[in-house]
Amino acid sequence: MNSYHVLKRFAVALVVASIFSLPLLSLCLAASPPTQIPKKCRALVNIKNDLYLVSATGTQIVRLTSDGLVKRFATLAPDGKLIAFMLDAEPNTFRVVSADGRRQGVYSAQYALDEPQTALSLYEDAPLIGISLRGADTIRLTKHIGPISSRFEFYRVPSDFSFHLTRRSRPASGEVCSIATNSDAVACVQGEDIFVNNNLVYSKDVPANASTLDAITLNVGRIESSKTYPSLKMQITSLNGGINLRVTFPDGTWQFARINSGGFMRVTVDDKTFYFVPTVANAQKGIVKIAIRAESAGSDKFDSVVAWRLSGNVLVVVDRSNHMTQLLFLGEKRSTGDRYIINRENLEISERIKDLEFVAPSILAFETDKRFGEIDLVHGKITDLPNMLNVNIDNVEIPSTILGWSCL
Amino acid sequence: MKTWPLAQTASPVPPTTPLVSCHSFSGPFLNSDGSGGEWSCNLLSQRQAAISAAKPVVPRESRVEGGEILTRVELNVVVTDSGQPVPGVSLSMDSDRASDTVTDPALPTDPDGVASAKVETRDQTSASTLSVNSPDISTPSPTTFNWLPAHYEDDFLVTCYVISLESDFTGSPLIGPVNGLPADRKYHQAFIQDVKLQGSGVALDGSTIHYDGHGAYSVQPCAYTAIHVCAVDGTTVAVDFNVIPRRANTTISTLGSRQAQDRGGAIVDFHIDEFFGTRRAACVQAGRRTLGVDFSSY
Repeated sequence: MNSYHVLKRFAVALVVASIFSLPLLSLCLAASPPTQIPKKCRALVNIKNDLYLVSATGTQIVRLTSDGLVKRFATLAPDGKLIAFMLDAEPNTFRVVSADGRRQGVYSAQYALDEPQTALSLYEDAPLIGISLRGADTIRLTKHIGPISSRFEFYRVPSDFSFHLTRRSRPASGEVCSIATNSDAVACVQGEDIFVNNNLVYSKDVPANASTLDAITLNVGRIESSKTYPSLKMQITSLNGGINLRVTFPDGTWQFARINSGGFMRVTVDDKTFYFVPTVANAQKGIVKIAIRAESAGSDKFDSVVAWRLSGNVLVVVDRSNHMTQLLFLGEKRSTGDRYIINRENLEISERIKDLEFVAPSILAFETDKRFGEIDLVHGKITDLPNMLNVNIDNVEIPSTILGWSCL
Repeated sequence: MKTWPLAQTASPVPPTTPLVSCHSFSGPFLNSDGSGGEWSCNLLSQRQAAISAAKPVVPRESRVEGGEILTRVELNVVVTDSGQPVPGVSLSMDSDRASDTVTDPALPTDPDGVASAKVETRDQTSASTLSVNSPDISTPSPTTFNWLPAHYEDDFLVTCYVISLESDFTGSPLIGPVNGLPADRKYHQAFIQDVKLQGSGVALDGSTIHYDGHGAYSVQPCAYTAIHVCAVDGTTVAVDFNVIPRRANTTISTLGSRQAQDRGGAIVDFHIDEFFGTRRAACVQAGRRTLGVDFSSY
């Protein structure tokens, strides 16, 4: 199944018009002057190992826990009605508490999922390294696999806080995954790839601004050196099933790949990414041209975030390079059908985005190392929310780091 | 040379500076009996500052800039006079290195003569010497300290990862050709899936398979890390290069020395992923740990 059909399966009714009706096309999403925090906003804070839900003024306070035990991964649902966290003493267990602090459920992260035997099922009992409340009642569990991917499971938290969670989807893998609000579709970001339901639907191409370092022509079997970098050697070993390219680097290391038409070999060394883009010049004579392109863009990846629009038919990812940061809207584009980018919008947030989620049809809540905020797609503005708040407890103001905001 | 007069009537009179700091003053004096002369203060200041430096830390808000981390040393300054604490003194501090940023104490010395300052830098190549820069306070023994090792203020989540082995997946069906790999080779399907999850794997023929993204794989002589060296069990760790600079040497409590060679989008903030080679069972056993980390060297 090609990626077009994969996306088509879950994108039941993409309303392209709804995206293009947003006044975004020529609008740069930029931070607006600081405004007063809306009164409806509530923040989750951890003070001396206990969790509190506080108003924007730091005065109206609900104490959620009182055990003084070390909490990790505390997360606040976008609507502010649920809070979840883990205790250091309970490595594969998490707790969910109501916003009034009166009801609490304790859940194990190790469920027998009865999933088909795949490589991903190897990691069913992998250590739990994160939890996050998504939408009104869904919790996302993150289980560790390795540096490039984690296993993500999505469960619905029962409204009565009973023991049984309801599984919302099959597990998925990636740097980060997100489940659609109204379906079981799961989108994941991994490196330069975007997957939906574990199928690749979009990959970054060679960046348009990558500079061409060299262009050489070589015959099958012969080893040729780059003119620009003589110690960089290339060999087309055969044209069997594609262009079989072996590249030997100055330090003696090498990489081999069979490259299909239009494809490339990408090698990242420190901050520099090299692209070897071969094309067959003459198949009968075994002549291949290779363009060597490079970009000093070690961060030329997607940020580890992905968000579904509430309608469930469009994904938003953050496309970052050294040159610009853009919100990339992906969905089935009916007019062409073969591409998924349906919109791009410049985003004036320089720091890496750590979390991103639609909290209203046109409002994206985000978190970075430095701040929280909301991106208003209709009005093209970004509203910052602080990451510190003075919380007044027993008439003592305690500067507190905010773990999450809810402004619904 | 006269000592400071008990009763002074002549002009100019020394200002109302505390007696102990009068060494910079001199002038005529006139006693009530008509006698007079030149006075000068011979009570040199006895105020001394003793500075102690805490162990260097990497603050939790520190992020790598230009390949360098920010380190901080908290300074404890005690001002005494003839062994007695001197409260209420505002202090200014100096470092002998221009690359250091010194933050003077925000408050004067407390009743115990104590004030707190801090110094930060991204240049850990040489030691720093700190002293008090106040005319009436001497620093007989300026404090000198090295910037490394520095302890990360936040503990790290420590996990492990492995290289996939095709021999673990021989029950899975064979597929081929696989995008990017030799057209005449078949591989076990679950192995190819696992290589996509772990990044690298060793095929039955001994070749190392790497997932390149774009749904494509390549063959390499070993499992390359992000700095393009072969991953080594017991040496390689994957980190967030925004928190630990690439190639940095660290000491992880209970584990020992490791080098930041690898990275990945699933490793964010204070998370270290330790390469376990092919030791999958040991990795499962290790699970998730929370450990302290020292930054040792670049």
